[in-house]
Amino acid sequence: MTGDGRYSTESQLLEGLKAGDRDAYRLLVEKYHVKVIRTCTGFLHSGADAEDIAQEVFIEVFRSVDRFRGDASLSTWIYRIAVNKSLNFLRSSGRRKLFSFLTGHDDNYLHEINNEHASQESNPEESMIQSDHARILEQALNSLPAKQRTAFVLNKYEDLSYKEIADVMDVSIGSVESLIFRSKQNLQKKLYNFYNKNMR
Amino acid sequence: MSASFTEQICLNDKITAKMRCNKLNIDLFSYAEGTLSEEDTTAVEKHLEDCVACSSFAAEIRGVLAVMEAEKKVTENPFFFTRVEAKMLKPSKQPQLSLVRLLPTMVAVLFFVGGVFAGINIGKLYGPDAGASEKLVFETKQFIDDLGQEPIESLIINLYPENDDTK
Repeated sequence: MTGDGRYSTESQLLEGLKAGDRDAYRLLVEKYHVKVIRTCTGFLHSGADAEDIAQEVFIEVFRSVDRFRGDASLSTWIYRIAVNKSLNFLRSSGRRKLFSFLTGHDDNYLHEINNEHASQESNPEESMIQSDHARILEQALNSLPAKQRTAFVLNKYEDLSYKEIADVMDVSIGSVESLIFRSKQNLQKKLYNFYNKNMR
Repeated sequence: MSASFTEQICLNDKITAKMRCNKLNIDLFSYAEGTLSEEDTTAVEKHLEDCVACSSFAAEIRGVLAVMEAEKKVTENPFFFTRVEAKMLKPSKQPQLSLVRLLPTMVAVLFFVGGVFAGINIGKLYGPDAGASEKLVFETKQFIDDLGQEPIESLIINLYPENDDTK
């Protein structure tokens, strides 16, 4: 019997994970890895970093599945870990950037992001505009407060409903509405500032 | 979005549609996203026909949102589970890594402290007062050493030997 057949429901999958069954692990990864990578990309804007963090998310899931009480759904729990891991990575990379700035080492993090987007375009002018947009998007999103950014990323990148976001963030639906509204307002302000700077 | 933002754009374009901009300044992002109601979308489009700056900024937002859409396109990776498994089975090198990271800092601190001590000692050896301290100690020893000084009685006897009763 394949893992897919044995683990048709979430509770069965959870049982398999707690029992340490490799098929259950594989099934979980296959089911959620795209969602986790996409969520991490929303925070990190780098495919390679997002994949690294997504791997750590699943390692964390496997290591702490025994402590999972089942208060929230499995997907909610996984999203929560993905958000925390991504925010922690951003904090540590912020410190790294500061350190490399102080020591004078060249930080090619932004170049990597720009190149990722630029490489998809064949026209140099188009690719330049696109990498510029990628840089602006990253800076604008990173300047948002963590809660606004989380609500926005889960809504825009993962298309989660307000209820699902509320579960992940452990806040009320009203708070999620307010966070998303304010995040859009702030993003428009930040984008306008960048736009205004470029026009000068 | 503050009221001054859209007013400013429109004034740059010499368009004084202040009321319309007050409405627009909230909804440009949602308009670019395509989440506005039909009625609001029509109102925004009508304004964008007149306002070059707002229409240019809306195009900028659309460009940024297009990047976001491109980032969302994540394809399934058939080797992802294998990578996770390999990473999980790999022995953790975290403590060793942190020591390795600390090593350059520790070496730098040692060099700094050693440099300061060496500087102080070299300064003592070759400074302008080098050797003076020894001389001073010698003279001071003489000055405070009562036994080493000539007693006043001997001095008087040496000055006036004729008054020496001991002879």
